Amino acid sequence: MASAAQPALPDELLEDIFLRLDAAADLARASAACTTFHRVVSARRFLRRFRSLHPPPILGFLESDQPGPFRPADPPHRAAAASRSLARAADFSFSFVPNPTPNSWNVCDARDGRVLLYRRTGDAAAFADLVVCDPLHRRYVQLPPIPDDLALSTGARGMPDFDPFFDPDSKEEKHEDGEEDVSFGVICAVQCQHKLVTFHFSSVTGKWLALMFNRVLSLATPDMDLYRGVFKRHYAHGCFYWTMYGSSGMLMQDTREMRLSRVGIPIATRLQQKAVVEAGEGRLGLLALGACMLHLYSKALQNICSGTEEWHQDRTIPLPKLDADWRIIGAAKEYVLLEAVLQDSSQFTSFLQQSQQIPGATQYFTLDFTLDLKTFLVERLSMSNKPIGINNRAHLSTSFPAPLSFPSI
Amino acid sequence: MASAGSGDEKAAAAAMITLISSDNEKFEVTEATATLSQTIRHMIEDGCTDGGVPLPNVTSKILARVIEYCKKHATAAAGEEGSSSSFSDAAFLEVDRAFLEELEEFDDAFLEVDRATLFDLILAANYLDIKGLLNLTCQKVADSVKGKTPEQIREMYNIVNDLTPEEEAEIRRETQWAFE
Repeated sequence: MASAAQPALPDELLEDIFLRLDAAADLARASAACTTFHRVVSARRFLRRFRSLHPPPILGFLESDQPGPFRPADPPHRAAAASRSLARAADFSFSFVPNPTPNSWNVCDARDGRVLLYRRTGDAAAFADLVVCDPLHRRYVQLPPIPDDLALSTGARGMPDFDPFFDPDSKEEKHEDGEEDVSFGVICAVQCQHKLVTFHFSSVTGKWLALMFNRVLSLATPDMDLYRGVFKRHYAHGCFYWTMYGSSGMLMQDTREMRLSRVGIPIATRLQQKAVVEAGEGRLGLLALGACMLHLYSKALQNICSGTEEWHQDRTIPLPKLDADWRIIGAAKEYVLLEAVLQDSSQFTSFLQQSQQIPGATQYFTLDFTLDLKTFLVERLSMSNKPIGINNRAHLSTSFPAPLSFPSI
Repeated sequence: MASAGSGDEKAAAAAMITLISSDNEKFEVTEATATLSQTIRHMIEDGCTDGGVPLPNVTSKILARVIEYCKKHATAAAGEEGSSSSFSDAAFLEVDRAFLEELEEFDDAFLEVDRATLFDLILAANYLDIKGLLNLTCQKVADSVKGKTPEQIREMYNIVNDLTPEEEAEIRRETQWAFE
């Protein structure tokens, strides 16, 4: 029973071995060794198992409100090659989505190979059109409009702060019968004069649900309407959080318990940029941007509304030493995206010398970094000569590169 | 009460099972060692181990290695079971840590085998349903593949490239990003 020539292991054992590879690149190279390996790795059942065990790598990011371009990861980031390959293979101009007016689709979120797009349809409609698309496989689904009666019953109409995003907790269900799983959830929250309304779409039911919160608590002033667009929306552990520059509190909207409350935040973070994140089991994290460092505070979810438990300062995360304006430009379940706009691009050249030389480096003065919320590692993702728009958000594009991915819609 | 001399107890604790390899070699092992294999555990539970357990899929060379693994890990498992009754938590933790370190060293040394033996160990662990051994050996193969090119993988595992040049070019084109 010596394994003389071909791999003498049955497919199920080869699967067991390949599932232990963490990097998609290792899997892709192994698949090129022989027909058996290629067959095992290409099987959809296997790829589904692999995807459920390994998070998809970050391949770049997309800016909100822009019809593109996709910003790929740059060398020496480990995903740079896969990222460039995605940029070549995918259509980030979304030309495969019916587009009566050029560039009318805008990006509002990205997750697991899908991109959420919206389009203003004019004053008549209460809400913008929404499309979920897969730019690599050039597929899309148009979401049904939020029904007028649903919209009317909430009083939410024509609001300027239409803010849809993918439900990060919508789990891919496991299908044993080999059927593709392409389910997703979309949430949007709307601030109205005397209400907060959230709409929830599930691709499983194909329907929208609306949740309404009548009791509006004030952050700084009782008149929320004054502050439209000033609030920053965050989403963690199934709850919305609304922060406002200068305020010593934030609004928490618990969509499960239908509760709207005010949560005090550490006074030191009042004037700092913030991201509300998940800080491990049962804890809410508040990430605040200080001078060349990030401070992570956390608090037990069960005490989140009570003043009895103070925020605990968990750690300080130093940022790369750069003479730059730092911004928090995006936050997802696993990562926070940071941008450094350099005061002087010559710094960039010296910063790069540690790793590698890039021709024409002096023209780049914007660097984007990811913060991994598990390891707290800050890594440079990409560089560009143009910062993202003021008040714009960026959305990390995470997916498995072809041929390890299959259509997400 | 220290009853090291009690022969009856010892005999009862050390019920022996005979394992018979594909080349008809017989191995006497304790039940505790043998039952690390779920396959053998089920045979014992069903009472079909009289006259020995034939293992037609496992050679004596591989079976000897598997038994070596099971003996070591059975001792560890016995320690764990004992912990709930006879050890205090602190004492157990101390014993546990030292033992785990020793076990890790044992596992590392155990994996120092040629590729053919490693594959045979995987097959035996799978057939005998020994979870720990299967994990250990599969992880070893996975680790050895990390960062390698298809050519290096073929050479390491003596794999014949049976892809047609067209197929290979197509795969390489699709996975070009993994080679940069």
